[in-house]
Amino acid sequence: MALQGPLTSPEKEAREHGTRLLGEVVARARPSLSEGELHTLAEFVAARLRDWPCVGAASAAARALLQPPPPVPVPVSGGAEAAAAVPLRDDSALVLMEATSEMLRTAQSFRQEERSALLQLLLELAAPGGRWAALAAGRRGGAAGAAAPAPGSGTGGAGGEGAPPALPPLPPPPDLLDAFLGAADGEKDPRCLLLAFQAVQALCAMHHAPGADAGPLRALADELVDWASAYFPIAFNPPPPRPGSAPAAAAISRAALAGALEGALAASPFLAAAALPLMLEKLSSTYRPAKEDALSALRRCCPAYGPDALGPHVAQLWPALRSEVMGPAAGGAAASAAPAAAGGPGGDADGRLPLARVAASCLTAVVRAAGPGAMDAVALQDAAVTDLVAVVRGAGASAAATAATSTASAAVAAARADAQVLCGSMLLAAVCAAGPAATQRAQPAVLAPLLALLRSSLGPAGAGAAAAPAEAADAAAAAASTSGSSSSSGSSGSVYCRWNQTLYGLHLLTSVVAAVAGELEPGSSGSDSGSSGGGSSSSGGGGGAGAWLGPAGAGGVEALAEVRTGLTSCLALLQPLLDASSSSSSSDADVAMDASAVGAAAAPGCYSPAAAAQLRLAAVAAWRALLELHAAALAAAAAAAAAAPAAPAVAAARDKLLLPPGELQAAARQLAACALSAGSAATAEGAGAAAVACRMAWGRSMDAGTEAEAALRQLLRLPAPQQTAEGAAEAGALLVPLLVTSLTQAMGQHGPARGAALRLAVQLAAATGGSSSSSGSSTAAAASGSDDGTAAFAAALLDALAPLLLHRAHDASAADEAWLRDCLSQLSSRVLAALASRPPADPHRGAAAAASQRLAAAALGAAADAWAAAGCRGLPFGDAAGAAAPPGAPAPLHQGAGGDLAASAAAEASAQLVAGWAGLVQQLTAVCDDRQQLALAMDAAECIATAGSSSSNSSSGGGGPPAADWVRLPLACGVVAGLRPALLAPQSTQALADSLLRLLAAGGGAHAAALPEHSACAAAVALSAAVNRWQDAAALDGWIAGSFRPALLEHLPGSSSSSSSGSDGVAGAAATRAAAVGWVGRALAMRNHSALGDVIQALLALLNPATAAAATTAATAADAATAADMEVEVEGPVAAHAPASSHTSSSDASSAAAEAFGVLVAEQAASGGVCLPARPAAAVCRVLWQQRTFSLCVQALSGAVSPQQLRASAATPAATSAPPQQLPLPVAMAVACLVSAAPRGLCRAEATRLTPLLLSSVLRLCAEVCPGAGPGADGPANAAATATATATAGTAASELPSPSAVAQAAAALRGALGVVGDWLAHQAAQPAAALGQALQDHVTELVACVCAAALAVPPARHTDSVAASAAAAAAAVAAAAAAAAAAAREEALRCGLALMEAVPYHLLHPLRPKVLAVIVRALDDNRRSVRQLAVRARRTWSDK
Amino acid sequence: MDELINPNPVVHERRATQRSSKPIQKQPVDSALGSGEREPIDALEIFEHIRDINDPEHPYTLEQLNVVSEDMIEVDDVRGRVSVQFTPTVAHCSMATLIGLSLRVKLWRSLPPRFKVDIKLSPGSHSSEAAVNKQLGDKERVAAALENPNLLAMVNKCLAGPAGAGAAGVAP
Repeated sequence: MALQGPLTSPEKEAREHGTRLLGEVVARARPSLSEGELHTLAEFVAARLRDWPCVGAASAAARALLQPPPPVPVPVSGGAEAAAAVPLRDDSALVLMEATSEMLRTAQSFRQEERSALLQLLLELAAPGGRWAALAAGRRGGAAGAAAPAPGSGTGGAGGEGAPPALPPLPPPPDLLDAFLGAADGEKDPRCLLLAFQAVQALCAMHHAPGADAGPLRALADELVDWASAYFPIAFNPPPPRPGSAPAAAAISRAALAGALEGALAASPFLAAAALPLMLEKLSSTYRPAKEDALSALRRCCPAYGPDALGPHVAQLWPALRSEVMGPAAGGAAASAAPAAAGGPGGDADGRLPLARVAASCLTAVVRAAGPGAMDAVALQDAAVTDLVAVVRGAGASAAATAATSTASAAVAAARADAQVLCGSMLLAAVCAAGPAATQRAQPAVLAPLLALLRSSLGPAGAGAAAAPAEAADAAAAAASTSGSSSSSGSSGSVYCRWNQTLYGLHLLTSVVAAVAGELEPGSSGSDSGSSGGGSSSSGGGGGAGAWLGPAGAGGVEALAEVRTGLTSCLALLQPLLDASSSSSSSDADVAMDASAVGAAAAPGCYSPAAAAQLRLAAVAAWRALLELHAAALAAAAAAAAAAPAAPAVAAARDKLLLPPGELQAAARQLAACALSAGSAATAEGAGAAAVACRMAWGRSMDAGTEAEAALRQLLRLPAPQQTAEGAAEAGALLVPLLVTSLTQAMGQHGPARGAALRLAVQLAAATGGSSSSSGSSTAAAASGSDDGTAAFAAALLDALAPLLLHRAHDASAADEAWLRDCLSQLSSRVLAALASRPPADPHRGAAAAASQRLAAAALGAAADAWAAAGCRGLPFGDAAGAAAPPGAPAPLHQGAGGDLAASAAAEASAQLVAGWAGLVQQLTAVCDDRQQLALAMDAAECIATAGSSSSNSSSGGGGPPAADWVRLPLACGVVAGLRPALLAPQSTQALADSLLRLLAAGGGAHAAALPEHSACAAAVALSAAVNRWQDAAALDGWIAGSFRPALLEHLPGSSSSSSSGSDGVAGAAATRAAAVGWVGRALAMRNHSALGDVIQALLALLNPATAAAATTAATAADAATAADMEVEVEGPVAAHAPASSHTSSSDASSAAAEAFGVLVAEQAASGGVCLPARPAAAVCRVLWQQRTFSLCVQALSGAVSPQQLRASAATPAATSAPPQQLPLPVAMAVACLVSAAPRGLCRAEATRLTPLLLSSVLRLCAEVCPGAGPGADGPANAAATATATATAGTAASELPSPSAVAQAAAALRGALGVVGDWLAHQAAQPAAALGQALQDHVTELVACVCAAALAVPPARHTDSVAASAAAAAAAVAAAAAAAAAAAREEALRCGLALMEAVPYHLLHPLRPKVLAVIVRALDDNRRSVRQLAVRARRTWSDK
Repeated sequence: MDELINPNPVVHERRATQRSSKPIQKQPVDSALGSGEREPIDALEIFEHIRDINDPEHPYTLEQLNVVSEDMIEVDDVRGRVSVQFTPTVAHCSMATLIGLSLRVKLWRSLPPRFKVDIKLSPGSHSSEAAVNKQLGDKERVAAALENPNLLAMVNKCLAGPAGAGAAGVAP
């Protein structure tokens, strides 16, 4: 052996290295070693183990030897030996063991690595199924009692070494535990400690293994606990991470250590005697982590110890835990004087509250572990529990008495009672949750009296003086089982004075029910019993559903069922009282809680508002708990049935716990009423007013509406598992209509309740929305099983809403319209989106589809009818003034009442309404199945065809089109956009496309009434959808050549000869055509069609005149004086020699074209309420279409810009004089739209090509947003000065760009800056070479952009001269522009922040003064958010 | 330092302050500040700047030690005046000047240059109130103090914010 030299070398380093190498060799060659060789090696390694310098290496080698050989799949060198590798012989293992135990005793003096290696070796030895257990068992089996135990440490090694291999009676294995204690004593290193704790677990498990002798463990248990107690609680400060070390290796946390220590302490019941006093002592400590650790250790250890070991300690455990759970009450009582004004227990108790919660859950575990009849008996006889009943009873009396006493002391008393009840409820719930036996025991002692008190507090509503004695007698009879001093309950005057009692009673019972429900939950109980370990499963108290549903739990279930029925009946009593008080509650909402008696006295017959709010919350909480119990019982029963089918006891127990159908309906009714009333109150008073500091939730502010909504959601989720229970299934079927009718009734009314009902309905119907609508269909499919109830509800809701929606369409007032708009958008964006993502096979989807088809068809038909019914007054739209009757819902317009402003506002609102309808119809269509879609498509096609033909007629003939068709047009377009691609037959597509095209093209005719904007938008999208879904490629090509090109492309104003003469109508038409071309381009782009190039060229041509004219204006502007003049000339290149109208026409068209560039590549683009998302279900999409389109667009755009324009705008920041040339505005807009619509990844990939273009666009847009304050003009220091400078520069408002243009430019600017910011952030996070180079090359322009954008404040406007209505409209537009500009400034400052990290500092340094100057100006921004960002930016830039 | 001046300060929770709903005063559209109406710099905004300054001797912020509070700040946005009063934890606190200096530097870095900042001890909160106030109000002495690299380093440490989060790390 070549290793011989180093292995026996006198140099200790050499020996160590040799041993390490030997270990490696052994580990690799393990399968091919024979028994004899192994023994030799074992002896050698054992000798090396005793060789101090080699300990670490040798223990690694020993571990390699001990590890069970891996099975060898292929015989390496032939022979049986290799096929089944030989395990280490027992005697050789013993040799190793002896050496290990010997070295462990001296391990304290080793280095950390060696100690850790030794501990790992020990773990290997003691592992379950490890060598020690095998040896011990074998020895006891073979030679029972022959050998003397516990060999001495000194002799053991020698004896083991000398033992001949074949000798049958082996010496006993050494006592590893003792050795371990020697090794671990005084251990400080966290890594070693983790190992040591694991070793304790392994050693204990070893001793408890069947056949093993537990004697040594029993003897050493005290010592073991002594050792462990030194570490309890763990005090560990993780060292600061070293810069070089890997973070994962050093990731030992305090939690890990504490967990391991708990595991060690829980390892054996023998440890209980010593460990429990330790934990109790630490529990009484004032050091908070000690408390927490003690609680969690108790929680883990007690189940592991089992009832026998716990028995002697129950007397100490209970008081300690009780005082923990009651802690907040004690503290609250002491400190209640101060925070009483805040209502409820003060902030001091908040710190203790989580602790008390943990203690309560710990108590549950402990009570359960102690077994039935042990601890629960102690607990229920305790004074704390009996006091609870007294407090609840006292509450009734004290409320009446508060009128007499001073309010301050009453407040203190109330706070104290609150805290006591809260803590008591935790205590009671914890005990009851421990198991059915405990609940059964609690029934006569506590639960029954509580229930009786609750009932008596809700006694007959008209309880006047006459009824009082009878009631008192009733209460006395009910409470007779306890030492009832029932006179107190009789003394209170009426129900309303005893609301405290009601509240307390409700809360206590609710918490019990909730706790039991939590235990029944299969998930939680399963994990609970799993963590408690298999050892205690036979101890009887092991909780979970099995105990409850089994025959043993019958008594507990009985008790619980009684509580349940009592609760529901009380709730039924309470609800009318609450209703009465909410309806009659007057405006005195300021009545304080403690003065409730006064309030009640002032308004007899109802609760005071504060009391009603509290009680409502409590009622909702009670329902939630009951529903939880219901669901948990169902689930647990299902689980039990799966485990053991046909167990009658389980079914019986379940049926006891379930809510009967009638009560479920009552729950639905009450919860809906509660949610609605709270919601309507909230909408009436403004947002967020409904949240109340809930006394029974430690003063946490809760909103009854949201709570009830959550409960309803819970309720809807129930029916899914109810398929098994036939009775309950009917109830589920009944629930949905019940809810829907109550909701629709509420929506049918006027006032704020309608909005609330809508909100609630949408929330409920889209309950899955959070996950399924955003993510893909896979999660939706997974979730669909549990959300059947939701889907059924949504379908029913659609059905029920249909008449309501259509009815609204007939006679809509202004408020109605707002609601309707809201309703439409909510439905289409949330409910239907959630429905559409469900799998088609879903039965509920079928129902929803039927409902939606009915609605869509009805909408198509009804729109026309409604217009006819409205008397066909006036043309629906197309009036010269633009103030048209709302087409989708042709309401009689109040023409006489309102002036211009009203008319324009109404037109605006109606346009939005139509957009909403169109969107809704699209979504509805998407939900329908194929057959239904086909039917809808026929209707829509007919409608479009008639509209198209009539419009072409009208363009020639002049007669107005049939108005009804115009009304239906947007809806029909919505239908087309919602169709599935496979559905359109080739010819019909052709017809559809032709008629749509006619429609769009005809709008340009001089005599025709212009197509209203929203209809045109919708038509454009529909055309796009049709083109996209065209199945016959050849026909499509033909259509493009034959129809599309002549009709649209060549009529664009930029191309050839058009747009010479015009009017306003032409301007709109040109924009419409540009938009339509853009949409068709999008459709083609998604198909990767070759005609896309033409479309892009045509759009570019629209931008182009500006380009051409820019050169000429540049020449003339070389001597132009002010920047403002420049603005005008650049923007309107033909202004000098063309009428102004033509100028606006071309600028409208060009901005439409610029937006079309955004449409081309966007993932989902919407217009006129109708959208064409790029999802395969909705459109034909080729792979990489975005990439291709984006690249084409970038190429075209950069081709359209001359290089000196780029350079000129790049040089702009340096020059203070007016720049000689700038990028044309439409091109800049187009670039901005393009990049902000495209996916960010694409922009990053194209960064090199895009950077100059994008940056100069940003600069140009900045100049547009903030004319006069050019990037170089840093004279005036603040915004006000800038504004005045602008005002002087631009002499008249007309010379400035219009506010809407500014708003547009600001939005585009924001989008473009978003892309820049994304580049920078991405580069800072994960640098990429190409992007980094592009950024570094253009750092000057980049900084200039950021600086310019950070100061982009739109100029002030003087609107006094114009008419009032126009001024209001202008102000709105200007505000929008200001908001958009502020967002752009924020984005710019964020870019500035990211710049520091993304770009090397040496490049930025020369620019720093300039940036800082800009930031200082931004510090005085008008917007607070901008100022905040500026502070951060200043810090970042000045720190360097 | 060997001995803490206040070895056991009372620590207060960080309060969740939030701006109550929109201020009611609505400026006319054609005010001198542009079409978007200005959100004026108010006491809360100033407070957000200074609440997270570290105490020189304790690992707490000035807000947690109740050294600064929102109602001790007065702002006049139009005229550009800010007056901040602060209260040392003990009356003989020798750190008062350092705290004041930190406040001044922080506001100087966070506010537009048109603002004039007054930093004062709250009346009666310090044994040598007049002297400290005079020192803090003297711009020559403030400038001289900031020339001192040691002092500047201490100020910067105070301004570094809790655990490296930017001093103005209040998320927008």
